[in-house]
Amino acid sequence: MIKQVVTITNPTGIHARPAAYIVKLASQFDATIRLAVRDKEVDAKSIVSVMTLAAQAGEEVYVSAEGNQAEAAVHALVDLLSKPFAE
Amino acid sequence: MLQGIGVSSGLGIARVVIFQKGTLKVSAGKLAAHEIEAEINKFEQAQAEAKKDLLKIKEQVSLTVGKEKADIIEAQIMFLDDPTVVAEINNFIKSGHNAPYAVNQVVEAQACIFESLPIPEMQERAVDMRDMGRRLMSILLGQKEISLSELTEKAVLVAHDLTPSDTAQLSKDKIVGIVTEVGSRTSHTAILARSLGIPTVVGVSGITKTIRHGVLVAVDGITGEVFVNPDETMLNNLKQKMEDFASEQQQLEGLVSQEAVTVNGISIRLAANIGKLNDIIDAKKVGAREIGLFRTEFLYMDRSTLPTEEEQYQAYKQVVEAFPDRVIIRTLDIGGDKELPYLKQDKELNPFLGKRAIRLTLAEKDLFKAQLRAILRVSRYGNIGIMFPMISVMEELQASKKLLEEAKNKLIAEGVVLGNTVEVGMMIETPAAALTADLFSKEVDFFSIGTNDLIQYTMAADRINEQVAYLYQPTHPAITRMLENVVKAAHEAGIWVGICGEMAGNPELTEHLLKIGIDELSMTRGALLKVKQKIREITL
Repeated sequence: MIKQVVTITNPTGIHARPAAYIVKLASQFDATIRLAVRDKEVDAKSIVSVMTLAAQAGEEVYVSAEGNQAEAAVHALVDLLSKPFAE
Repeated sequence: MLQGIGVSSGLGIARVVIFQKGTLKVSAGKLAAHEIEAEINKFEQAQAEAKKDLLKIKEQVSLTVGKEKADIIEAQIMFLDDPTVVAEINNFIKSGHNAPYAVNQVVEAQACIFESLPIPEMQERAVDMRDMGRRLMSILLGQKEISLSELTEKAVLVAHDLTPSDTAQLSKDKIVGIVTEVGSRTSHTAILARSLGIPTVVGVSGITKTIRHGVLVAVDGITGEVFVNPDETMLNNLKQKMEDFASEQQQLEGLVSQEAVTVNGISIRLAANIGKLNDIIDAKKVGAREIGLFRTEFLYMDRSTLPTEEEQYQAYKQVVEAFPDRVIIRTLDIGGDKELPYLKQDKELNPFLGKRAIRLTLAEKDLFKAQLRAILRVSRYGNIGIMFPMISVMEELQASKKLLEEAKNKLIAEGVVLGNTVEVGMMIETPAAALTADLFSKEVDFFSIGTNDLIQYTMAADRINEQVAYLYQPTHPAITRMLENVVKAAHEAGIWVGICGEMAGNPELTEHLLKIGIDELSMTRGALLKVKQKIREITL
């Protein structure tokens, strides 16, 4: 399992639109990907789960993945989450 | 005449079409074991059909309304495909429940979760969730509902409420007005109606029961009035009102690309005030090329930790890249009236005369330094200015400048690339600063007058206090003399002076301010075009 932590810089955290980008990106990889914030851990391919995380700016997100494309998946998601989303 | 809340400007006159949805009856009846597989297939088929319908609607919306609104439909499609949602529905069916029941349970549960989140934007997703659920259930129950795109002539739509996928199908050529029983200025119906330019009134409770299908109505989206069966005179008055409004809109739109130049050819610098990243789009829409006041407080509020230098850098970068001509960034202007959980703030009896703005940041040096560093780092993306709020005494300005210089030197030593143009200025909002502007003018590259606070401090009256708000007089001689003094001091020192308070956005004061000699007016996006129009009408 590959695991990496990233801090959210988007000022409004992970609200609706960023959640959609995250899920769309995650869904492209052949891997089981999980996102964890505080004590909640969810499937990164499930939009309702990612939205319910309600992650805010400054919070740390643990990205982990298992499967064929685990490494690529983690890298891509960490990259996406480390920047603010153009509104 | 019925009264509601006007949420989308304009006047719509047409016959009523009442849009009502039937109730979907979901039974809790259980399935026999051998029926379960068929039910799972039924759900899969309904899911596919709903997805097909939504994709069609999404395309329609993209073409008629725009990509942004199509995203609302996209969200529903994503809900439909969500592995967690689908798995839960299948689980319910496998334990013997019928598909509509399963969908209802799962959708309701998820909608409630959304509603329980402390973020308004997330709470609104509950509406989308239920909308999607309803679509699925209506297919499963064989009660597929007619779509709004089936209307044949112009109509005023009357409904209890409209769901996101209803409003997404609205097109301006068929629907000339909307009246709903519930809703607010910020509900999705209002937001979409505004972006489509359809006159809309919400909050007219009971209208679906009291109004008859086919009756003529006039909907005034500004006043919130709904006229039922207006007579000839009323109709003519309303039509005139409509024409005046339309030509005013057209005129304003035409102004976006025009220059802010007076009749006698003097060019005036117009800028926009912004307070959050979403404002960037609005400011661009009205043709702003400069930001005269970038309020940074949004980065510090509604959170439990300090914003990091990196977060700030990313946010400031977005604004500067969008407006490379000039962005004036104001350092943190906040105080005891706002609770910041990460700062130890003593309770103050008088927070507006207390430890706020520059007083606060000079006392919290790490906070201040982080902000100054982040601001300096974005100077490479465009011309920027830094301004310090609420300066009263020279020591505050000097201390701030010193910290800025230290931050700059440290960044250079770290090898960070900095831009060439970093103007260092201050806000003039205290009477002390306004009256000694000649002493300050030699120490800064510009002044920006915060007239809101300056007027309050000078007239010693709180504009929000109804009992004394009458004393808030922007054109009182005391204020005019102060402005004249500040302008004189600025120009003698060869620096520019702008106004970023509300006065700047009031077209009735534009001539007055420009005649005093103000060089730049920075205002809220909504005021920019009207002020530009005024500038083009005057001679200086």
